[in-house]
Amino acid sequence: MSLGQPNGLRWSLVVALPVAVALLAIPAVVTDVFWLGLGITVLMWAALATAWNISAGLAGGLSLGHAAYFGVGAYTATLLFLRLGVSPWLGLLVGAALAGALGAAIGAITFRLRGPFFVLATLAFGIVVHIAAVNWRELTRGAAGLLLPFGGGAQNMLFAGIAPYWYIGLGLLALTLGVTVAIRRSQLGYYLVALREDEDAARALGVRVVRCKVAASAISAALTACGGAFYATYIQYIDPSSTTQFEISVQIALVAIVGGLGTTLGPALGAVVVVPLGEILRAWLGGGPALMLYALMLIVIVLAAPYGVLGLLQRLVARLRSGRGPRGAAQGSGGRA
Amino acid sequence: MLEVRGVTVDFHGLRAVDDASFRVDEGRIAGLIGPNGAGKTTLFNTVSGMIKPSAGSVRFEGRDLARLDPADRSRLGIGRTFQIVKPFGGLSVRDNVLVGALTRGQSVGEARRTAEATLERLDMARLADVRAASLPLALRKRLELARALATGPRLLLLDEIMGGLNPTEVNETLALIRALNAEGLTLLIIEHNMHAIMQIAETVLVLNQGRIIAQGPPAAVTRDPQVIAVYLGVPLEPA
Repeated sequence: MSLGQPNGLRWSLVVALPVAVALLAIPAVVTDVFWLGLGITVLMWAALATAWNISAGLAGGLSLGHAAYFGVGAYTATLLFLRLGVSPWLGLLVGAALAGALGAAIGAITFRLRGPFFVLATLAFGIVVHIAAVNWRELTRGAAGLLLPFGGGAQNMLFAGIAPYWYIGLGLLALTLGVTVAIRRSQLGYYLVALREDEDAARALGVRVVRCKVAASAISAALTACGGAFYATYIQYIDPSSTTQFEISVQIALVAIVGGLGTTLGPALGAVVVVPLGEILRAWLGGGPALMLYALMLIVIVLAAPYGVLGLLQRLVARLRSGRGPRGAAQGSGGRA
Repeated sequence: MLEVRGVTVDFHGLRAVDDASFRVDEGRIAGLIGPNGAGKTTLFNTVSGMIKPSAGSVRFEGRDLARLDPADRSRLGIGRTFQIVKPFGGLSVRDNVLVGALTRGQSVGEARRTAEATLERLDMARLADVRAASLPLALRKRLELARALATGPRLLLLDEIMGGLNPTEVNETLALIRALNAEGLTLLIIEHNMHAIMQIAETVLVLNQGRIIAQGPPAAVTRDPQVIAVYLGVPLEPA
């Protein structure tokens, strides 16, 4: 992303406006439930990957436990509605606050851990939450799951058609992207980059490691929980295997990494590539063969675009602009801009 | 302003700094010299907070620093550079300096102006947009200095910022240090360039094998028999 450079700003306006208009018009054009549903799924994963990227890409903590926050969001919104009649719109905020607190606590515990040790700690945390979701049956009904009543109405974030979810998903993605851009331009954003580049130097300049990592972890967790609440009201049924399972954490990370870790738009772009690939393969081939082909194609993508799909696109654009110079174009596109 | 008392640092049985005591008064320039491996950087690290001493105390403006981490100490007004330079390689030179200015409590906009003014002063303004990773070593050392200055320190610890500089650059750096000092900045400087440090320091501390073997004005220190022995390797007394 070339945010900040005058050239980049002009380009992002030229690109962003038509894209925004097209995105808003999609439900009017795409009426087929399969394709629109696919689009909504893409939006959700784009938002989740963007939220994850705040912790992993900006703060450098590759979490494999984000399904926990997703689950907290999904279960909080659902349970508050089922037990107390609280609108999921409000439940979404409560879930975000809960997950934010949890994210802050995890951030405070794990900030010292580096590399694989951080990954293992978040992985363990995710599994603990999953086990809780499965076994705390009085609250979650365990593997039986929780069903949200059909036709709860707009005030309860429960719609009969799926078009409204397109717009909610779009709003969610805009929120996560907006927060990402705001962080990158703020003091926190500069501190996070400094910490990622050289922690000792950052500390010597007065950057407080714990505060920064806790803040990034909390923000990332809260936004992920919003995604969970969205999922619950969209699918209107949740169980541990669709919300807190380890595979969800992996998928979030995968989408973001394929798209471009640490970049602003990369993780969202990753969802556009990865999610349809998985869904379409599953619709065509189903089950095992689809999964194998899916994995194979992901390997190819990662090999072809080591800096993510965004990095690949940037290189292509640079190459086109510089008159197909095979070399110069690749320069500088490798950084985690 | 800075008072180090009985500081000892043990690394798994190896004594890197042994019972070091010294003070740097406000507005002064102190030099810290000694052969390689004498423990100069380790002693520095106990002041900046990167290393906790096994014994002894470090006080800054009368305040015991024992419980403060490097970030807190920086915010109190202790700036430092690193001998092995640590630029934020992926960031522009401007943004490197901006991070330092931010911790003063400035907004991003203010910090950017502080960064640019600092770069201007160090004659690096034209490099503001260059990625720090692509700077040659001499300029990386100057970037270390720019970043530390941007935090608005009252005590600045310089760790061999003149190593690898040519004579003209050394003179420029000396002039800059004098100018900063004239504005009230207190400095503690580790330097291998003896000629340079003797020109600028009012007090020189000589560290050898972790012990401070001499301290005083440069002229006196250079005549000290122990110092001569360490630097020339000639034992003046029979062992």
